[in-house]
Amino acid sequence: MNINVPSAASPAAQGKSLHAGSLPLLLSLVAVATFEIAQREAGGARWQIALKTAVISAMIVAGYRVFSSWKGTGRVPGRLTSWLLIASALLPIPLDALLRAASDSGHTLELLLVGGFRNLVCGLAMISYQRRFDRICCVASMFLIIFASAITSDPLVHLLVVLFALCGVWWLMGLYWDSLRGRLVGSTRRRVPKRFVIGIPLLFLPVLAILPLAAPQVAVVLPGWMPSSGGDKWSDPHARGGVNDGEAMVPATDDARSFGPVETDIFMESTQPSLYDVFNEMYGKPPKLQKTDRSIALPPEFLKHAHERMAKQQKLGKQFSTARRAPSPKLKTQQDVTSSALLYVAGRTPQHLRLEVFDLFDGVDWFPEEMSGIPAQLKLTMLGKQPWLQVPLRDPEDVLASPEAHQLKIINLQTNRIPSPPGLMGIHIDKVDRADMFAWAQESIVKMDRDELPDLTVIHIQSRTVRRERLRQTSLRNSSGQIFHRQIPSSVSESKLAALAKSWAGPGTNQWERIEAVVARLRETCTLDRNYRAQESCDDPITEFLFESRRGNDYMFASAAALLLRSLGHSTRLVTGFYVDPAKYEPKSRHTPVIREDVHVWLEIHAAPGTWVTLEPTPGYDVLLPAPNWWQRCLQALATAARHVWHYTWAYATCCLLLLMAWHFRAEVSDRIITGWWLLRPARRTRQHVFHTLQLLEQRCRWVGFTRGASDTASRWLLSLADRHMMPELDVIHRFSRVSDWARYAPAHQTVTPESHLREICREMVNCWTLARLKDLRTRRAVPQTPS
Amino acid sequence: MMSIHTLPPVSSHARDLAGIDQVRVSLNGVLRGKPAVIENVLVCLLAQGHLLIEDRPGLGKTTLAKALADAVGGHFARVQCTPDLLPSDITGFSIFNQKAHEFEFRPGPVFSEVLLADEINRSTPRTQSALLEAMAERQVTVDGLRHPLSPQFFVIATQNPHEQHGTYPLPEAQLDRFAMKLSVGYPEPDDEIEMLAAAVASNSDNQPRLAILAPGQLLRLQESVRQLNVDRTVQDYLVRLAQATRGHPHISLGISPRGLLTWQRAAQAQAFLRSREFVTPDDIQDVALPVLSVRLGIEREHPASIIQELLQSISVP
Repeated sequence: MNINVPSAASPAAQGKSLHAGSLPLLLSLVAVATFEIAQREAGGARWQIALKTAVISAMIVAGYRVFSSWKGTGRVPGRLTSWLLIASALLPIPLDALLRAASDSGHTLELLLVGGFRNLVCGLAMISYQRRFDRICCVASMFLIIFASAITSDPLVHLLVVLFALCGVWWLMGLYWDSLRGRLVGSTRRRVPKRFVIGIPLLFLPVLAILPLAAPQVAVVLPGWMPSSGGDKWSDPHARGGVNDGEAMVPATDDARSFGPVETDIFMESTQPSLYDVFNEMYGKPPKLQKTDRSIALPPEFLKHAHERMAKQQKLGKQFSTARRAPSPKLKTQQDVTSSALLYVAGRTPQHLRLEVFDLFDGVDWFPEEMSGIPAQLKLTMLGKQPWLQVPLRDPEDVLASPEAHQLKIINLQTNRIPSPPGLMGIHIDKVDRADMFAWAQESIVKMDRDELPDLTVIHIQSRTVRRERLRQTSLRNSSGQIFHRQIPSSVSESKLAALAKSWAGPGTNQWERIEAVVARLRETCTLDRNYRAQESCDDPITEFLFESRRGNDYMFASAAALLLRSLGHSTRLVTGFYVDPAKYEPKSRHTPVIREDVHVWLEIHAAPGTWVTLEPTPGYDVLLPAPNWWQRCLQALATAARHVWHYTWAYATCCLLLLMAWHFRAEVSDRIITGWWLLRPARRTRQHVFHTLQLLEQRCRWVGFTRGASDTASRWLLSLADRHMMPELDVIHRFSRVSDWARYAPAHQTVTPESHLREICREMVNCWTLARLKDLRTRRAVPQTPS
Repeated sequence: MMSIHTLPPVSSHARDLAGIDQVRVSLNGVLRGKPAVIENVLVCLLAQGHLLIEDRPGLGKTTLAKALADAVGGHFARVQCTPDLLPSDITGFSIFNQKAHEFEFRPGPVFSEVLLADEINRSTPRTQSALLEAMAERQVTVDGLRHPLSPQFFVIATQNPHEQHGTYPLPEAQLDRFAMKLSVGYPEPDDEIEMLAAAVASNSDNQPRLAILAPGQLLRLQESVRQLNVDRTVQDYLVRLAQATRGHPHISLGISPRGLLTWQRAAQAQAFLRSREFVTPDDIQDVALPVLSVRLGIEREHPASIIQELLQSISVP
């Protein structure tokens, strides 16, 4: 560590070591301000807190000035001071008792204790000019800021903690230096590399300046890199409220602010409307069937069966139509929109949450297949003390990645189906330890045996994503065992569709690569247009989408992709559900809300027995890939940063240019500022004025590289500099050096009259040693010093 | 209050300083080309310390001592230290006066203003200690009777660093009685030419010089030096330097509190000579080498470099 004692050698420090002086005072002020802000949650406006903090700070500074004036007089804080400090630390407890007796109000115990600690810090700060108190003052301030920052989440407190940490590190460096001082020899002296200490943070300034312009998720490019403490399943009745992001969330029993999904809540009954209203609001209602004689093109041997199934499904209202009217806009307030989360998802995104699978397509409408055969029995297994519903999952081709967990926090989802990602393995709801509470809704989609999922329920889900690179290496088994997964409606020109699919698939032979090529081409060729609707008279919206308009909603993309891939001989099906959009990730809560606008339609392709792989043909939507390893995460973080920089190229370029200019002209600009400050700075005493002048000159010299050594007095340094560079103004420099000696070392009673003359000497010196002049001297060759 | 024309920090003892200037000129005329040595001699004189000059023979040590004694207007005595020199040869002795039928005290050379103890390391430790007692306490005790010395008693002791055969090196405790140790060194060639030119047909060495300082003036100057202000921060700096000498790995014996007092007094004298009424860290640094080199147990051959390192390692207030 390169360290130095610049302040100790400066006239302002007046002989104090680096860690002494104002640093303990500053640390205590920061700690006290943090505590006052932390107290705000207990009530009180910001301006009141600011006023209170200012008053306390002024008292501390005034006390410090009074006590520090004792320095050199022989007076020291005695035993009475210690008793006063103890009394001030204990004072809040009886005061609070009085307050409770008088007004039936008070503070919690931890606030009282920390308040006592605050008083102790205030007292110690006032007498911190003494060596024996400055260390304990800093340590007490550290504990105060730790306690204070632990009881609040105010962003301003974070800034103050950072400021405290920086000052604290500087203080510790000084302390370390003082412990070494006297044992180090001059040859090992090092200086703090200020240009790096200041310059490196400046490099991050453009990022800090531009990050607020970016979307919130860009600012958090490293989610999951740092561990989160989460909840501890313990609540304190005296807690001041707040919702954590851990597994155990706080029920809103006493305080409405502690709202959140809970795992221990009992299930509630609800009579709210069906989930499908959500889809109708999003996509618009399908038009009433004008023709009743429509049929799907199934092979003759399946015709009767299919008709029966279709009739059954229609009766239940479970079809998904690709022909829809535009939704009528609803008058909603801004608050309605922002508070319309259906559920929250904790876990990696993007994620597709399936609610309904559609297997049959008649050219306009999709229909689900009725579950055939005896579905596998759902079993509950206790893992640890938690009941987990095991969902059978086959993976004969070893294409699935390792399991990963998600949490669904149901807010306002009116369905009994559990939104689940592809590759579902298990479901856990706290306290639900009966398997008969669950049932199959469709293949690989589980529902609860009740009308709808209870609000504020936390559902844990385990699933496995698909390793795409593994799919490229294996031969896909095209048939799902159900012929309708490959059926193309008669209303659609199969030959035309197949030609298009083959042309998009390319000449390759790898099945998965051909599939990806078709999907990628669809994403490139067609445009997502949420407002575009095919005419109601159109009998074949897919053909119209693929060959004419090439724009449409996500269900058109999904349907078109499904048919294109079917024409290549693959088994596909349509899936509706929710898309957990990573763009909506809320860094603060570490959750991603799912709102009504997140309903989505995509398709799945049959890759192996029991394995359906999600495909995403809609532009702007992505599929969750297996969890990246550390190296991939690094690359992703770099890529995210690079995209961010690329997106804000001009802003970054402008900032960098400004920074470069500021860096290049830093000395000139700073010199103007501090010279102006020197002119305007009030200095009632002449000695102060001399000190200020010397500070200004030293700063100018530092900028050009003439730094005063710690063991050199100002006068000797000035004279040697003038001598080395053969300055002609020796008379002025001589006079000023004597003046500086007088100001620094002469007894207080030794004054000079008239003082205006001294100020005149200072002015002459400042005018003589201008920054430009010093720079000019720097470029000249200095006269080598002869050893004295 | 000072006036504008006497900008700080010019001393108010202008008349006394004029006398010192004359002494300085006189000594510079005797010992050519050695102003730094002269300056340190004056510092030592004003600080009421004693001076140890360690150098080869013939470099002007005796001439300097005699010139100084003439300048301050006191009685000069010289002792050539040899192994057979007795303490009474320095302090004096009592003889029986047959007429008066009583013992009569015959004062030795210590009863002078300026005493030159030449080659002090050739005398026995017993004799050395007798002299050093006189230097420390400015009194001698003979036959149970205490005899005070002159208040401006000033010892210039010399020793030859190169001839160690048959010598009794001064122990550290006795070296601590000296305020400074100086080395005159050979003069520059130009100065030697001037010296030779001045010596042609000149018999000035045998001519007694007139006293420059008036009787009692040296005491007043020394009192003025004692009165000079030393800021608390400067004293703190001095203490930090002292602590550094005690913790330095190459210094076996750090400075003692008595040495610290001497260092402060020497710095006061240095400030006085620079017409200042207060001491600055520069004064402390400037007298550090002669003050420390006489009393620090430095384990290296070049104590100056160690002392310089010490000074650079401690920041000034």
